[in-house]
Order: sequence, then structure tokens, then C-alpha cells
Amino acid sequence: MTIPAERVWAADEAVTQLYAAHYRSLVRLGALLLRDTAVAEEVVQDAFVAMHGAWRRLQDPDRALAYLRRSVVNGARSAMRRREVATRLAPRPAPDEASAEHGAMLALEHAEVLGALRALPGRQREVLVLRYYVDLSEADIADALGISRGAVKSHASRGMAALRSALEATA
Amino acid sequence: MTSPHDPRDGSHDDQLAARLRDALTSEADMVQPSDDGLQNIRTGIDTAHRPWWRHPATPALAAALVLGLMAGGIAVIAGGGDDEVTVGPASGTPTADDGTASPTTPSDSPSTGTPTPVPIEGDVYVYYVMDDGQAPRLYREQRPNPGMGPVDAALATLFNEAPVDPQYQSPWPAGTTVRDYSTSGDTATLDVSDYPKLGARAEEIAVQQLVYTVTANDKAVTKVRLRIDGKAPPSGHVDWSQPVSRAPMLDVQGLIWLLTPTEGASVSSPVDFTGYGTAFEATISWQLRQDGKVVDEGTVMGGSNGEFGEFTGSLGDPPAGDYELRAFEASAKDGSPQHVDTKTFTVE
Repeated sequence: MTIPAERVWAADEAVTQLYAAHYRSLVRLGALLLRDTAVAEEVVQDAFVAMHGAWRRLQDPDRALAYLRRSVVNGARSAMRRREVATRLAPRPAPDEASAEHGAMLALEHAEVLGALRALPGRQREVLVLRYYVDLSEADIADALGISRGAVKSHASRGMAALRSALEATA
Repeated sequence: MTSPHDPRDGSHDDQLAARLRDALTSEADMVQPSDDGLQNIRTGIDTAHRPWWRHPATPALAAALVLGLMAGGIAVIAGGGDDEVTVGPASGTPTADDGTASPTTPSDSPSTGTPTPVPIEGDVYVYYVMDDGQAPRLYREQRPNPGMGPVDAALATLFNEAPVDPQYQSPWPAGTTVRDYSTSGDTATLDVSDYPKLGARAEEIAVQQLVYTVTANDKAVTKVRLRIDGKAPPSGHVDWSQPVSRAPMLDVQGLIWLLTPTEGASVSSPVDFTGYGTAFEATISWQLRQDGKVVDEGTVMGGSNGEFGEFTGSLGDPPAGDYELRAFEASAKDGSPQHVDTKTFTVE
């Protein structure tokens, strides 16, 4: 076996392993940011393709996962901006309204919290999702968003404050 | 992975955090990815691994561009290495949206592997010099053509007009004029009225400034034979007995440039930026400043391993006002900014 072939094998193997371990949770992360599972899947698949290309310098599953998260958050942000433009031009119902259809009080509570979350500016929303859904540390959130830890802290506290006042206002 | 939050102080915040956690988990649980994810990824990898930038007319290019457009701003950029696929995080406008104006149009100069940009119609590219803190390097501006041949227009701008970015300079004597310009095959003969008197490195950069500018605006040309009033240049440092080609990009070109917003531009929200560059592990840092204070910062991916690549990033919706954007490589030693390029602009 030549060296290039072995390198390709390693990258392919990385894709298979990381796919098995993290594909679902990355799609869920994308879907929470985007409210659109199909687009979230595309974003995550593209992230894997890019990760495969970058594998030679990543070489490490933890760094690869951080790279994937970063790509998913950025991809979701871009997809969302395009959708906002499209929505402005042609208003249509938001996708994935399923949680409100559960009917139960619990679902209403969730819908209210998520509604308030979605009203937040993008960075604050991203920080809160990474912290409370993915359970990332401040340092990992900073890495995923490409911002400083101080910025993570301030987005988180501003986001929580805005969330609280929004939920109190509707209560 | 440890939870970043200590749930034991029983505060208001933790109740809210628990509500948020429950809501997110319940919402996420309803998301069921389809089964074809891995297959789609493998198809995408096959497409991305073809060296499509060398064959821009092939369907693979179109497929890659559509992929980039469709799926969340992950733009496949000509990184050079056959497995280098660079992510353009936060890309609001994927590079694919306008093939003609893209500064990294992959069809350019495939023979040298140097992605020389093509000016959009009516504009010309002019290279200027800026010391990035370590060495003088070339930076490019896109300038309007007042209605001459592209090389004449670019050189007239270079010799007579100040760069838009006040940090850029031209070492050529002001008022230098083009006396004659002709081409034969891939060699241009350029006769100008004056020549800068400089030290070795500065003269080399000034010469490359001229060669980069000429070759950027006349795609047929790769070499420039320079004459000063019909005679060989009075150079102490550069051998003009042969026509001069472009020096390698890594040697003379600015390592990180911001392309947009342009210096002094007024832009509306949301604000995206684009640039061009190379950095260790492709990581290019940026800072948005207002009144000297950092108001936002982040990183984007450019080119790496000595390959230049376009980068794009998003500044979101900053409030109206005047800003300065800096792009740089954070020093591996101490994080200090290296190879800084800055642009000031106004958000309306």
C-alpha cells in the first residue's frame, strides 16, 4: 500500500467512526438552530465532507468533532440567513412546528421556552443551545463559535436575561 | 464532557436553565435523521476530491458549487492540495454565487497553480505595498477603469492615484507615465518614464507590484520586460536583462487581505466580510472594533499550507456606526496579531 492510499483510508475511517458516534446529535444540534431537519442534515453532511478533506491536519477525533461542530454552527447560521431573506420575500409557515401539536401542558411549556429562545439574537441563541443541549464547556463553546470565552460568557448571561424577561412577560 | 453549570446554587437562573434544557432535549428527541446520511457524505467526498478547479467546465464543478449553495455555506474553495477542502464558516454569500467576480476564480492560470483573479468588466486590479510588520507585501485593490485599456488604466491608477486604503502605498515616483505597452506571446514590453530608487527588498517589491498588476489585467501575459525611456532600468538589485515573471505568492503577496467591505464603504446589515489569505491551519482571526474597543471577534478558515484561499465571515447585525475590521493570523507563540489587514467602514 502506498502512503497516499493509507491516508485516504484513515480519512474515510474517520468519517465512518464519527458518523456512527455523532451524526444524530449533530443533526439535532443543527435542527435546534435551524428548525428544519432536512436542511440540518445537509449542513451536517457538508460538514463531514469538509472534515474528510481536513482530516490530514486534524488527525484526531476530538479535534475533528470540534471542527464538525464549528462547521455545523456556521452552516446553520448561513442557511438561516438565506431562509430569512427568502421568508421576507415570501412569508410562509415556519417548518417543524411539531412541538406545539403535542397538546399537553408540557409541550406548551416547551414551545414557549423555545419560542423565546428563537427570538434571541443569533449568537446568544447559539451559545445557549451549545451550553444547554450539547452541554459544552465555555472553552468548547468559544471554540465552536470562533469567539473568546469572555464573549461566550456575555452572550450567555445576556441571553438568559432576555429569556427570563420574555418568559415573565408572557406568564 | 463536564457540565459547565453548577446546578446547586438553586438560583433563578438554574430553574430557567432546567426549563431550557428540558425544552431543547424534548425538541431534539423529535428529530430523526434519515438513513441516507452516510451515503450522501460519501458522494460529497467523491465530488470534492476531484481536482475540479483544474477543469472548471466539468459537471463536478457545478455539483460542488450547488452543494455549497444549497447546504449551508460550506464553500469548496481551490485550496490547492488534492485533499484540502476548506470550509467557509459563516459564509453569507458562498463564493459560487458569482463566478466571474470571485477573486479565487479557479479557472485562472492553471499552468502555474496561481489563482490570479480576473477583474470584473470595467474594473481593474491594482497592487499596492504595505509592510505587514515583518516585510513589505503586495495588496490588491479593485478600481474603476476610466476608459482605457485595462493595463494602461491599472498603471495610470498605480502611478497617479492614492490607494483607497490609506495603509497601502506605492513606491513608484508619482507622475510616472506609461510611454508604451505592447505584447508578444506571453511577454509584455512596458516602457515607463521613471524608476524608483530603493533598497534591494523594496525595489524587488516595487518590481513585483508592477508585474502583478500587469499580469492581473492582461491574462495573456506572464512576463514583463521593462524599459525606462527605451533603456534598461537603472537597477542596482533586479536583473532586468530577462523579462521578469511573478515571484511566488508566498514570497511577495500579502498573506491576509480583506476584500470586502472595502475601505470607507457604507454597508447595511447583516454585514458579511470576504478576504483572501493563508494561515497556519487555515485559521484567520478577525476583530470588529469600534472606537478602539473590540466589539466582536472570531475566526474563519482561509487557505493553509502555503495555499491561498478565499475566506468569508459574518458580523451579524452590528448597530449603525463606524467600525474597523481587522483580519490577522494569531501568533502561535503569544497570540499577537501577525500580517494584519484592516478596513474601516460604516454600517448604515
